[in-house]
Amino acid sequence: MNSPAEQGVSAALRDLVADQPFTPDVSAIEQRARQVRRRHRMVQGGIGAGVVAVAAVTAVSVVSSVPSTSARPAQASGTHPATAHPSASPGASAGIPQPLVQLAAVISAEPQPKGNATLMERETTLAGQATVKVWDLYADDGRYFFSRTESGLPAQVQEDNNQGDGLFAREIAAATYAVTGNLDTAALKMAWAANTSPPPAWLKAQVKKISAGGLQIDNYVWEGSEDALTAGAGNPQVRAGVLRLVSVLPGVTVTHGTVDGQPTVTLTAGAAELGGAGGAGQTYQEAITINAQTGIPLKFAGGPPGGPADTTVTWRLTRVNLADVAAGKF
Amino acid sequence: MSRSEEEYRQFVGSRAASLHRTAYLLCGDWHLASDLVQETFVHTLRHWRRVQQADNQNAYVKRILINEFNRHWRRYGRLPVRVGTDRPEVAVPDVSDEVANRADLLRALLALPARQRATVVLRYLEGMSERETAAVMRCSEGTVKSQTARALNTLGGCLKPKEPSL
Repeated sequence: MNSPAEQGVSAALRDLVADQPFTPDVSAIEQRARQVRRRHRMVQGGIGAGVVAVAAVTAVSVVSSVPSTSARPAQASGTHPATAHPSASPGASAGIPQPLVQLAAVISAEPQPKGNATLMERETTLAGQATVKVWDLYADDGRYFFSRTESGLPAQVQEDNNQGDGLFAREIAAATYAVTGNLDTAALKMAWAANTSPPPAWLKAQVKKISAGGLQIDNYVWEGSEDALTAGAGNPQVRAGVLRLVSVLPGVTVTHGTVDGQPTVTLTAGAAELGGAGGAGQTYQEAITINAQTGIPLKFAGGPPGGPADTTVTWRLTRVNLADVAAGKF
Repeated sequence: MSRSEEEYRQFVGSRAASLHRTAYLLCGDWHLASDLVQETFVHTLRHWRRVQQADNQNAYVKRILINEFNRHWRRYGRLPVRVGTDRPEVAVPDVSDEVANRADLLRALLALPARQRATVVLRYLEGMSERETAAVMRCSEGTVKSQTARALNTLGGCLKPKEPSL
């Protein structure tokens, strides 16, 4: 039996929440769950047909058609939290630009590379298991082709076996928009890229609060940004836009270092961005390492914070022409 | 639609309103509450088989909601309603006899430490027992008791003493 005080609190709480209608958007929930599942499969190695990898690399080979730059971020070492940018709108910063924003500015000035697609040789290693190598081909127009063998790619392109389903095109569009557009709007586009329907009111309401530190959907933005960074890795505008978007995610930390002698920046997202991605109550983090001069993704690692990575993915990136791939000339 | 999908949709329909109310009392913002519930259902769907096999589905999904709320809390360390300054959005009917001021109560609730607030909501809105609350909060029943006592002590000032019945 509850005491009178307890009964009073109980009645008062029920009064507080009385008559508030709520209808969950089941369609959005299911789409979001599919996106998360697809992404989980991607991170877990992309062994299934048509599965893309989110990214990661220990070594990257970039062909000459993807230009590099000598520009460097302002800070060359140390760990710097990428706390929320005080001004989410571009060009409105009153203080010192963040390293990611600075790097984005440099990258966005790069010329568009030759070719019309990016070929990614992807190696995925799961802890205690053999390495799996597959080939992803991301066309600049958003189409995506997959093959378990390099020799199998021409047939995929010839048959136009596009497995992108429009998702990568929307994510790339959101990242490109972020280069010069309003970051609140860009975040909304990225957060809702998995859907073709208009963004719901509740999502818009959350995005509106980015500059006030109220972004609740940063996990959506982070995951979409990861996709865009890999699917648009060959496009400097996409890389720049992703960095600008990530710069407003409050839980992402930025660490400078080197991989195989090249300067790198590692973007790490933990509980804030990924929440219960490892299951209810489990912690999980993801780290993407990019070239500190070009922003090209170099390394991905996912696993428990502070522990060895469960998943590591590596890429070799090459710019190509789809017609050449279709003809087997790549 | 598969049977599993149908069961999931039924589950969502039957739990949505309750979760939404709980989320609101945790965060004090209906929009954020909607977001928390949506994300809770995403995680529920991802782990649907596990949810179905859970001894207490209600506790399981409440645990996911609490995790989502904690994620927000860890990130921002504050709530959408700035306690004591902004007027919370209290879309409710007239003040009851037992509540001096509903807005004051909500402010007091939101001013509680997150753990105390969650405990109070689970105990007195959800009607969970101390054991059930401890299971959701992943703490001992003793902790639930102590957290509840402290919270009630704080909230007590917002409740009018009940008039003795004639």
